[in-house]
Amino acid sequence: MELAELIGKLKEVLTSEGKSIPELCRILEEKDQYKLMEAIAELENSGFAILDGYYRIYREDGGAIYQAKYSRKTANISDSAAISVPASAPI
Amino acid sequence: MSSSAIAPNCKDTFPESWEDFGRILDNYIHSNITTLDQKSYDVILGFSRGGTILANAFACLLKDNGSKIYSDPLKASVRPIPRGLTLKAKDSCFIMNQAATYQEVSDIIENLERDLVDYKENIIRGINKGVPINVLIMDDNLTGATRVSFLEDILEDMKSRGIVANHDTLAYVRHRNFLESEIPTIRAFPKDPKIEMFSMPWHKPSHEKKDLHFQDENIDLIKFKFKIDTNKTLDEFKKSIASIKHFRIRREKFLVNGSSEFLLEYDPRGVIGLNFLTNKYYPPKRCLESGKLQMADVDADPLYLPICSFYRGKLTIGCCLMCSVLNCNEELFRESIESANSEAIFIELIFGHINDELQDAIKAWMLKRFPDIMVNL
Repeated sequence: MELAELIGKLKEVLTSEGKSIPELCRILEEKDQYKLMEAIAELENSGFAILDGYYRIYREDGGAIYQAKYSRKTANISDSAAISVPASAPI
Repeated sequence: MSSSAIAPNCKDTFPESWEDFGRILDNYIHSNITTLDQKSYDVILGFSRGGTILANAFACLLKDNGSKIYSDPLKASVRPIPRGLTLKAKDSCFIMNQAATYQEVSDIIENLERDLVDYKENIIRGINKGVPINVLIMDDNLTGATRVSFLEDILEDMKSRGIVANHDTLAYVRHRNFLESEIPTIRAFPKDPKIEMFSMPWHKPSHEKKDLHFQDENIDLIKFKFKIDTNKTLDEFKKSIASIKHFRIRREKFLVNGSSEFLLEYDPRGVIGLNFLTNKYYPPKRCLESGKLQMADVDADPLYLPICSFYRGKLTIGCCLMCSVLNCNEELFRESIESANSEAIFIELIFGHINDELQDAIKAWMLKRFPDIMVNL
């Protein structure tokens, strides 16, 4: 699936209920997670999609893994900040 | 976004016996013997302890299966990485950082090629001597694929140089929350939704679940971008990053190191952005062990500088995530800063729930790690 087509389909399946990247891949029958992530990034940049929370799953040693969920942006997320870090001297 | 964004902990463990493990392996081999014969694996690579147990059991059952190809004693020889004894507890970036441990990374980089060449040139006799070999990577219970992905890249490089003919990857089981199409598995994860952990016979059967205990479960940080103004083209920048051994490039646009996935963004004016895409977050084990801020650990691992050393707010997932992103990508930031023009590095943070303390902590971390640059809000 071409990226533009994937973005269009992603817009249709993203709802207010968050979904993980593997979930979205399964729904859209897209095998390449990176292509899906690129589509998510496009939709984040355009203000359509947003990180909405995390699933919590467990490794065999009991350690938690947090898996991001994305949803259609509904609230007005405007709290942003930028830290500028001038490189005034070589590192 | 609400405080219920992180699901409650209410899952159980599925323990599997040695008998079931052996039977499932044997059934898989029976069902796939034609393909396995066609693949004609010379060497099976097994990661750490569980992966090596799996690889050895698989090789034994493969040979016990009546296959003429695998009746050759040299076929399906198991090569552990690195020694079949390593655990993943020491590295603060553990599974996030490449092949889980520095020992595995160094073994793969320094020893593996020599061993495979030795197998190809000196161990194999007869008409197959010197012929590129077929390799199977095996791992046991995959809740990530970082080390497998890293090794696949190494084998792909060996393939281009005529050491390896073909390589495949096969895991025993993979958590249901990961994509099945990414890595083939021998066995499906149990369908019962209550089953959260899958315990192999060599695992402790009932590990206590270990979580980070957030004092505020609101999702604060939702976007992190690191931007530099540089004279380099995107290709030149990618080449400079390629010198960092812990990074790989995917789809020409993603910088991947196991802890993090950055999408490279390029502005025609020369601004390169590292857009951090949140996907999977593996907290450092020491944070999971205690579930609380690890101030005392600052001196325990000089390579890892916990952001909570500078953080004065309530513990949030944004704080822990940024701690991992900053520490496990320090080389990337250093290389990027060296590529930048003066006065042209920006860190862009977007918050769902504003967290000034986290913003201050990120700035303090940068000043500590990069004291020769000025940080302005």
